[in-house]
Amino acid sequence: MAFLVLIALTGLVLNHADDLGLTQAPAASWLVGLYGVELPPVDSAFDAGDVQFATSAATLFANGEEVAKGIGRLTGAVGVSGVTVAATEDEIFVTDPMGALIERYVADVVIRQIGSSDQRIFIADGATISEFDAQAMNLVAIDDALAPHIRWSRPVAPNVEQARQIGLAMLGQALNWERVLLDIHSGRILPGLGRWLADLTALALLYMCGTGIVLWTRRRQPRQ
Amino acid sequence: MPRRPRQVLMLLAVSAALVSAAAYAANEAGRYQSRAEFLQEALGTENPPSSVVWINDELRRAASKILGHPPSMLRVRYWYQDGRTAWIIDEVGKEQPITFGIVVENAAVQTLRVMQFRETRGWEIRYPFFTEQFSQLRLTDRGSLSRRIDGISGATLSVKAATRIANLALVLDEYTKQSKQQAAANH
Repeated sequence: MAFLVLIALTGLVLNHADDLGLTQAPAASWLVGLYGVELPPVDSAFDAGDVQFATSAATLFANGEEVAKGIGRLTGAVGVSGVTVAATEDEIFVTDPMGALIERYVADVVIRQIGSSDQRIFIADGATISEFDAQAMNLVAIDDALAPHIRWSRPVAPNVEQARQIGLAMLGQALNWERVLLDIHSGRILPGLGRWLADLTALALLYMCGTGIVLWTRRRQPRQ
Repeated sequence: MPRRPRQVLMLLAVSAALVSAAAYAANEAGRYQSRAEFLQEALGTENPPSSVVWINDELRRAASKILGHPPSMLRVRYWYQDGRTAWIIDEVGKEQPITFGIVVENAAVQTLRVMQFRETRGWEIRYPFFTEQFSQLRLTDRGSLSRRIDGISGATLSVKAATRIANLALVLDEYTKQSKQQAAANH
């Protein structure tokens, strides 16, 4: 009976999953852990001041918190006075010293490296070096004489705790509440036994419908 | 030709057409317009003057109400020329951000462009039959859009994202105008 109520309720909610925003709401991390899925790996990580930028599955994270989706390969990160800046091959992300996104800049060049010197930010596209202005959000080509003084960003090993946080966040996005409710509705949430329990409940419901109709017609006949 | 081989050939042809159509559809996502191209179209120059709107508490509340989530950035850049403002704003459709370019003039949307689409479905919103619906949209007294936007089957979330961003651009444009008027009055 309890399972029948659960199936009916989850069915009702699933019918309005889009309106309730369940298709986009990531499931709780503890629930993701229960699914026993391996955490997605961190693709690359760069330190910039107190912030570690890392990417996993085209998503940028700062200190384990999501900054932006749909990004290219991370090429580096630097921290200068007041801001931290991460660069992918085609975009520059300016964040505050805590890693909160201030602005996103689409570059017209392929960014190979990002570095800093004297609180100034530089990017290299393979052929030229440009200075990036984090206020005006533009790139201005500079004299190559400055190049030897630029400290280019280098990849680092991802922070273990942040990597776990990122993995759980990515899994949570893949596993939304609609999927969890669907698994409860179909009984798949309980490995092995759950599906059969759902089948049994469905058959019992059909049986009750069938016998209900038979009983109703039998009682109705004498009156006629 | 015997009937069965002909049927098999027909089935193969239909399958190939479906696979080609699916492959074509999958390739529709991408960058359709660069920032410079958008600004050239919107304001007649690739390098118009620009400014930024910092998302303060008031704007954060307004934007969160429109978007259904807090804005992803602390400041939004806009470009202006001859009374027009041009905004480039990202908004997630289903899973990935869609980059929109919106031009506002006299408190009404002039054009809405899909500059970059990263989702696997819903790219149909880039076509004029959809984007032209936003022309001359205004804010009502209640802060919503003055006209209903017709959806596209299979692109519901992308349509909703476009609608939210048009609403947000109008709110931001109004805020910048009010801020400028207030600053001028204080002087």
